[in-house]
Amino acid sequence: MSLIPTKAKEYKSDIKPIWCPGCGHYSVLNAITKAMLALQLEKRNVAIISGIGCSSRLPAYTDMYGFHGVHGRALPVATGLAVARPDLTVIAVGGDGDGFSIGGNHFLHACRRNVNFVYIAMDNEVYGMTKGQASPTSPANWDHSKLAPHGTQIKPFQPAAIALAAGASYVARGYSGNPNGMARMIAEAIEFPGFAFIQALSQCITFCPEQTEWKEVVRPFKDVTTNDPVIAAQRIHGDDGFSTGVIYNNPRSVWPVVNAADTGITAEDAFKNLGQEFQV
Amino acid sequence: MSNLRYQLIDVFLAHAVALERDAVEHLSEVAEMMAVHNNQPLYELFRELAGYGVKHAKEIEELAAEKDLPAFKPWEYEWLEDESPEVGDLTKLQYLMTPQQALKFALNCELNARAFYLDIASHAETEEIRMLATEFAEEESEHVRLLEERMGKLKEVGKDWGIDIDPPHLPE
Repeated sequence: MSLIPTKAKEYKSDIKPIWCPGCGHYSVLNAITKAMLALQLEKRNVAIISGIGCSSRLPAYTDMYGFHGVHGRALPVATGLAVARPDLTVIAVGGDGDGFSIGGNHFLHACRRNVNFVYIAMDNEVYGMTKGQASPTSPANWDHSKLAPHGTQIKPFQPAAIALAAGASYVARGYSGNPNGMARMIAEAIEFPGFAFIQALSQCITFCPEQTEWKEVVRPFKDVTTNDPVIAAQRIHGDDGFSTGVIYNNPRSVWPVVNAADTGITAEDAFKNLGQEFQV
Repeated sequence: MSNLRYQLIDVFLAHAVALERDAVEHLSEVAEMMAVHNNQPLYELFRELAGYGVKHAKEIEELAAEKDLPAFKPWEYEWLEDESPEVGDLTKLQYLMTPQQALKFALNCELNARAFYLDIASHAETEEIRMLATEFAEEESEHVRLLEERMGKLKEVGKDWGIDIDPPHLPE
C-alpha cells in the first residue's frame, strides 16, 4: 500500500482551523499540502515546526509530524531537526511577529547558517492572536491599535532584504491570493539544497481589513530569478513589497557540511561533535 | 501544456474534473470555517452548495472514467485566473457574513466556472471539446439561475445578525 496521499487534503488533520474566515493562512495551508502532493512526499517524512501565533497553529492542521513550539523559536527547533534528521523534509512556519521580532535573531542566523529546511513566514503585518497590535512589518502609519494610535512611526522590517543580507541563498515572496503559485514556490523551496526563505503575504481581514486590497496591487516580479545578490538587492529595494516570485536562488554549501571528501567530517560526525561539545 | 485544453479532450476533462473537485473542497472548507465560528445557518448553506458540487463532480468523473486523464500539478492547470474558477475570493468571507453575501460568493464561483467553459467552447479545436464545454457551461448557467432565484427569495436578515457579543477587537 502506498503511503503517499492521493489528494492534497489527505495531508491535513481532522482538526478544523480556527482562523477567521477570509484569513490568508488557509491558502498557505492549502499551498503547503498541494506542494506535498506534487512532490509525492510521504507524510511520515515531513515535519512542520512553528512558534506561537495564529499562523503557528498550522502544524496541528496537518497530518504530518509537527512541533508547536515556543514563541520565536521555530527556527532553532527546525535547525536542530534538519541537522539530526537530514532525511526529513523540514518546514518551519510562523508569523511576522514570531519570526521577525522575538525570533528575529534566529532568523538572521538561520539565513547565514544555511541548514537545509524551508521557512515560510506568513506575513500579515500584525499580531493577530493577541488581538491586533503592530508587528515588525506593520506600515509606519498603521494606526488600528490603541497601543499605537498614531502608528508606530517606525520603518517596517524588510524580510526579503534582510534575508538576502544575512546570507540566505533562496529568497522568495508569495501571496495567499495565489495558492497555486505559492504551492509551486514551496515545492521548489523544498527541493532547494539549503535554507529557503519564503515571505508569504497572508492577509488578516479581521485586524487589517485594508489588506483585502492586496489583490489589486500584488503582481509577479518583472524580472526572472537571479543568482546575483547585488541584482537581487536592487530588485527588493526598488520594489514596494508587493512583487512576488523567487527573487534570489544561489545554492551554496549546506551546513553541516556533508561532503566528507571536502572536509573529512560527515554530518553524523559533526552532530556527534556537537553533542560532545554540549555534553548531550 | 499551452492551449492543450482547447485541443485534447483528455486535457480538457482533466481541467473539468479538477474544477469540480476544487469547488467541492473549497465550499466544504468554507462551511467548516463557518461552523468553527458558530455561524450555523451559513455552515448549512455552504454544506448544501458543496453537496451539489459533489453531484456535478461525480457526473464529470463518470464521463471521464474510461479515459486515462493526465495528472497535472496544481500550477500546471491553465485557468483564466491563477486559481481554479470555483475557488472563490477568500477575502470576501467573514464570520458574520449574511446568507445574501454567502450566495453572492457562491454565485461568483459559478460565474467564473461558466466563463471558463465558455472560453473553452469558443476556442475549442475539436467538435467534441466544443460540445462538452458548451454543455458544461449551460449547466453552470443553470446553477447561476438557481442561485439568483434563491437570492431573490431570501428574507432580509434581522438587525441583530451582525452583533457579536464577543468581538475579536478587545479594548487595550
